[in-house]
Amino acid sequence: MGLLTDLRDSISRVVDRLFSESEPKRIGIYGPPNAGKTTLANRIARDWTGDAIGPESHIPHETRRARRKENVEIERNGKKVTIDIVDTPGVTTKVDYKEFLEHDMEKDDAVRRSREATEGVAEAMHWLREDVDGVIYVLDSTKDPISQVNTMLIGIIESQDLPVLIFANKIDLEDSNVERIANAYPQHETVELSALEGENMDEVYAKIAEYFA
Amino acid sequence: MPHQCTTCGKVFPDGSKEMLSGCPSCGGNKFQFKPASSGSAPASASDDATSTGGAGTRDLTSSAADAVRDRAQQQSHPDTTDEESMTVSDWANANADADASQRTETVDAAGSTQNEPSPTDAVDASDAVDASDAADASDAVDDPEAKPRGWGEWPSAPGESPGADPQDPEASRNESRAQSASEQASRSRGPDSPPNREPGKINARETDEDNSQKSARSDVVTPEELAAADANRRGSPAETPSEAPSGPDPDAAAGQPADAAPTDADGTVIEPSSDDRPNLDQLREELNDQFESIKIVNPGQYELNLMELYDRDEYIISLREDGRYVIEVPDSWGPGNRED
Repeated sequence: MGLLTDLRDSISRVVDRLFSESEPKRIGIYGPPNAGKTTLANRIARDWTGDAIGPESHIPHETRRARRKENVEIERNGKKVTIDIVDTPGVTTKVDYKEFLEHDMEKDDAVRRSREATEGVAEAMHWLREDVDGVIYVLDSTKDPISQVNTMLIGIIESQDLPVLIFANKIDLEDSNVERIANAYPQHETVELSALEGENMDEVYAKIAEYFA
Repeated sequence: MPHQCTTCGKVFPDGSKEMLSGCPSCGGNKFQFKPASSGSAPASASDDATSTGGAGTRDLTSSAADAVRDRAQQQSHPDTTDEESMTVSDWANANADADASQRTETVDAAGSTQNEPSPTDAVDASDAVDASDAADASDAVDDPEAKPRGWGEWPSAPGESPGADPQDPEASRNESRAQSASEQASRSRGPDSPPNREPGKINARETDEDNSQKSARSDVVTPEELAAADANRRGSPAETPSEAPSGPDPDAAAGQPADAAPTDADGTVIEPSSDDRPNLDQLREELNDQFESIKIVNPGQYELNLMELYDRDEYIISLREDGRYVIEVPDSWGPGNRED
């Protein structure tokens, strides 16, 4: 009997662990290209694990494969959450290699980057469907937030009933306009920040801990 | 255009949903568009013709070639005349030796010099000499009336008819050539033919053509004809004589050196080259039709349908400019992989 009891307890522990609240939530960082997704992912990862996730660049579509950082523990105001951060390629409806030529890129490289970026969008969309438990939607606050991509993606996220936080990034820039973003998507909480400069990161972590716990 | 598994070679018809869950035979998830000219699948010829619609003449012709080749090899020519069936079956026998690469090569060669109504008339001509019997060959030269229809239909005929040929010495050479052709007509094709072929003698060969060959040069095979040919190959004899020679011509060149003969005969070159551009465009179109979630506008330029990308179980994980693509099938994803 003792053996069976031990076995049952053991199974019970495994099941508890599988379905416990402490299982890392997979949080996808989504947004249009060049919104600062990787800069934010790196900021979070560095702050809580010491490692970065991927290279940042001012050239759009630097991130062309989804990258993941696992078991990032974030604690704020007595709340603690363990998340897997998934930094996704920027989502867009058009990819044109000519855009990269402006950044002193050779045509062959630009065409290849363009193809990889397209594959990246497909991957990002697939992750959104299959593999994320929550979304951080990053927008460049210097740009008009109402676009086809943003409207469609946020609509998809809503239809999935995924928890979503909207981050208005690049508030360190002069023509940043957080209000415009908050007004565009009033149904969601908007948090302003500068991932590059580390501005307002306290509130960012507090919201993450609260929202995704 | 059908698809083909790059692992096991299984072919899927155009628009097949079967492959979207991976190849049922080997489980592979890498596919490519199966080029029309490779023609190994029995049904591919007619499928290609109907699905590509506005495809280039060369593609249609090579499809026709495949269809007719298969049919000729099965030797089912109930409606053709003796001459025609002899021509086609001779051609088929000779052509059976040519391997696939030769065929491709010569299709290209024919395509590069083809004048629309006369894709391969040099080939026709040599076929006529080689395939007709001795009497046919000499009759053809002796009796100009033998082919009034052909010359009437032939748009670039001026220098080609022996009667109209301004160079009399050459015309007489043609006659002697025809006679020598009649001597060797009992199957002296292949190794014997090329050494005898000189520029002036091309005309003589054309005089030996029969009606079906003339018809072949004056028409481009239509998708309907291809469909009929395909149906016929499957057992319902409904072919018209014009179908038979129109198909084999590009392939028939395989048995012969792809030399300058077609240029001499045609005079003008309509299609300067047979490089891959048209096929690439075609492949892009196919890809766009199949996966409207990603539209390839140009190399390096894409339009994406986010809802389509999101809705699909499978998704493209790798694009290739040559029309190849890799899809990730649903089984590779899901909860099982999340634990890794």
